[in-house]
Amino acid sequence: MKIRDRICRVDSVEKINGKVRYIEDIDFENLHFARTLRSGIAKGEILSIDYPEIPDGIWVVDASDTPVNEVLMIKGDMPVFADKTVNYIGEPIALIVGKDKQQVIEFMNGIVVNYRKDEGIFHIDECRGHEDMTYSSYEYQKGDIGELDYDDTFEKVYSTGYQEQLYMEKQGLVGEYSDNIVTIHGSMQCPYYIKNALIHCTELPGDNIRVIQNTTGGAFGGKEEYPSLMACQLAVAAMKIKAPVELIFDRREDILYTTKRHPSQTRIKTYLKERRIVGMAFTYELDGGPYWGLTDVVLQRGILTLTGCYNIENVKVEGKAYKTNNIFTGAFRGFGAPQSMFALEQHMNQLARYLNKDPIEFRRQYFVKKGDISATSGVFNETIMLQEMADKLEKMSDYEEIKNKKDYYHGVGVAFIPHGGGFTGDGEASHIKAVVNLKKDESGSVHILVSSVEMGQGAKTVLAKIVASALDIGIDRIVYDDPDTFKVPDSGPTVASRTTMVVGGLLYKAARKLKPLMSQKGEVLVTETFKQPDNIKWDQTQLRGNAYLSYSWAAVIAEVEVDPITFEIKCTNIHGVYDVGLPIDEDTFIGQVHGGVAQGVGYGMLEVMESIDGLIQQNSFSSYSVPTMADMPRMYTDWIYNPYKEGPYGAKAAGELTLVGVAPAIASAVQDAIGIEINDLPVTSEKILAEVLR
Amino acid sequence: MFNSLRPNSLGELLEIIDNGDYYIFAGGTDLFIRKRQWQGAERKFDKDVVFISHLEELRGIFEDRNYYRLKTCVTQDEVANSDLLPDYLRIPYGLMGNPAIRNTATVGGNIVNAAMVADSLPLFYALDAVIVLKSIQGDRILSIRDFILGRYKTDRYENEIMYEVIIPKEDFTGYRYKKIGSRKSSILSKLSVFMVYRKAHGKIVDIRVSVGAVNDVPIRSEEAEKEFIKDNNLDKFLLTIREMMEGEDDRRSTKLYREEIGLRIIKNFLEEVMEE
Repeated sequence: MKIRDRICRVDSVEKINGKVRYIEDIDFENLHFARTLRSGIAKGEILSIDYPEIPDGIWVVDASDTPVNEVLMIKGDMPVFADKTVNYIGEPIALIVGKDKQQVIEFMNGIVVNYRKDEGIFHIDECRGHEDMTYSSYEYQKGDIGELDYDDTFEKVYSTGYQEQLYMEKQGLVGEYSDNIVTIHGSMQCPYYIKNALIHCTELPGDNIRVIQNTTGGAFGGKEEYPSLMACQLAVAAMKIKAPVELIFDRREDILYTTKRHPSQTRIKTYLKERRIVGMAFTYELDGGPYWGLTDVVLQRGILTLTGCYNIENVKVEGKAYKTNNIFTGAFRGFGAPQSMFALEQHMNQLARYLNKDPIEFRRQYFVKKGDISATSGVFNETIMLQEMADKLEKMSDYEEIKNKKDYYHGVGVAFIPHGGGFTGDGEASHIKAVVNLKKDESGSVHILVSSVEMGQGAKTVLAKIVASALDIGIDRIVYDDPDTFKVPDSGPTVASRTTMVVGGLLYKAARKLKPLMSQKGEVLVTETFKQPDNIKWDQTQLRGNAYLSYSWAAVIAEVEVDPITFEIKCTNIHGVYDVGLPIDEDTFIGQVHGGVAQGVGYGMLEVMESIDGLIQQNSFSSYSVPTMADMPRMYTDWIYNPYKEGPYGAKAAGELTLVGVAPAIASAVQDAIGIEINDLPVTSEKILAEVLR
Repeated sequence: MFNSLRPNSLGELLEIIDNGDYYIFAGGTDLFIRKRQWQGAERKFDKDVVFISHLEELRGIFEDRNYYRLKTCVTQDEVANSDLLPDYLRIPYGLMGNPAIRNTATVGGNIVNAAMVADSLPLFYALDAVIVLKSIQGDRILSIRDFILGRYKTDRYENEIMYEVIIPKEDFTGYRYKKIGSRKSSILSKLSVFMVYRKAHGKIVDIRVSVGAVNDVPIRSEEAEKEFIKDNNLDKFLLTIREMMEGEDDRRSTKLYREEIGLRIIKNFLEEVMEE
């Protein structure tokens, strides 16, 4: 086949006809069910736990059973089970396990945990300036903001709230232990993250740990680091009970206690000279919750592209992540960028208004181009086509016409977004070191052996298409099973929009190697390992150099109507132009755009998630309002071709990019419609009313 | 453990509920969700459950010269798509929940549940609807206002079934309805305003305004409506409604939004009707 051929998603039929089996559908012999005993307070000490008499068939699994009570993520500060101290509401204290769910519930109802309650920290305002409440603190500069010649400044503060991934399939894993081997099955993004966490927690050798992914019904980052915690608990439980143990969350449990997008606050001060930007200073802060998790990396992605699509000569960036007793915050599509890009793009819109300029015209003066120096003082090596994208966007949206619509409740908003593909800086080469295998078997079928997972995003279709095209064989000859760490090498986690670009790039190279060997009899195995391109230079201690391997770009216009009586917002249209190099599969890419728009509409104007003293208030489908079909705008999507040399067929990152620009475009459209400033996400009718009455 | 009963007739049902305390299960769209405890485990019913949605005697939409009658197990979808009923009933029912909910949830369930967000209650308050309760002892007939005692509280006795709701037919000139939720579909209301009116010779001769999801029970002032018909004093009317409002901040909205926007909607509706 050829790369531009249109095909059906390879996993769609079995998902639509219901044949596919998720972890909850799979039978294990002698399966036991685990339910989590959780902390009822946000911070304090566990004085004692009064268990009823433990009946036959019920097991309590806790810290005392755990060889190393640490969940290895970046650090190991999060315990597998809380031992004495608790740091957030819902923190796991023990698993209660049994074969009869009713018996487990009855036993749990009789448990009393006695606490000494301490004052919790629930807002980043309380953390500022406190070393002990700060996880990470970064600062970098470009040019010299201290020596600026300026005649005006423009300063604003922006904030964003929580967002829940709300994958359709809830968190769910099964742990088994037999022949001294721990096996974890289930819904996940990163089999090798889980494997490494299990080695650390169980102290078993790596050969005795096996992780098998099952069909995963959505993840969006929510199944990046969190399943490592569950897997450690299940390994301990399975080793104690010597039977398979299932841990599947209920929806409310999943919404209340698993990772959320980090709430943020961003202060931006722009220095102007003769109505031109000469410098920008940023302070970007995140609520990192009770444990390290991936917060440090989220913070880096948030700050490294804080100047977005613009070449600003003098830049100062400070980034801080704080420790609170709120819910554990973690990976979520965009990974720090939705927060920082909302702040930047809304600031650019407000600046344009302040300077009485059209928001697109205003941005065009500052668009980065090939050869420019980035905020982190790296050189943009690739062709950047932001001007062409802006042209295309203006044309496809009839920009001149829609922005001059006279209805006073109609508004138009703009956002331009970069998104770096793959891990930050030299992370792909220094931390991930991806390996892929391609195996031709005796029948002539080709097996893709990678740890990258299909989670609904289209990996199986896209990677199979890359290999089939490179080999010029039919896609039906490609076999790509759900990864099993006993069978596949570590191609890295399924995160950071890296699967097509990085893993697909390696598979493409492997396929090129395999092609001349296809006629050989018997089995042929080829391996490919990631090597950092020569033009990528990165200094992690100074945060200096090329922050990403390559950038994808998005140009978005949102149109909204605001009801003048009720201030209800309707997003009527989203126009988007994207540069993802080349979309490997156009239908899959359009799916990414539509999904990104849905999640962006939610983040921008619907998904209110408030925490009171560490407890999430919106805990169900009925109170946490993700968009329905009735809330979706019309979506007009186009792209430009701008192939990336290292990517397979020129492909770059596509997964996260499509979400990031939607919320700032909607916020600025609302601002345009009613003439009040929107500095806080999500934009709700309640906030508009409060602002109007102020 | 709990028992499930499935009576074969209304008579049998009345016998059953006369002899014990039961959860009466019609559509179950609220009850079944509220009683869950762990997926795959038994629901947490602490009383036995009696199913009623299969009973033909509890189904059907009827009209006679003066009244519409909705039996308790009529689904929301059946109301929304009824040939008999006027738009001012059909349209609001078509905006409840989502298609799956509307095909299962019942007229009686929404009333007896008596949630502050129940979208049918403001309609019945404005339309002076009457509730018929049946027990083995006979019937009791109560106005909707006497039936709804508060949030999740009604005057139904344990041995009674809410049998039907009776809605007087009126010759209304028109109606207005606005439901606001945090999204466009599949959402509980944070505010709803319902209005029906009759005009004669250019003058408003009947007006009924009710507000849902602000207080524990719908807001309506017949007194203020009568005054308004006499003096057409909009500000005075709004002031009376404002004084009745006891909104709260909660996870769906704010007190400020519910009250201010509720009044803005009423003002807009009344101005439109006065100009018509």
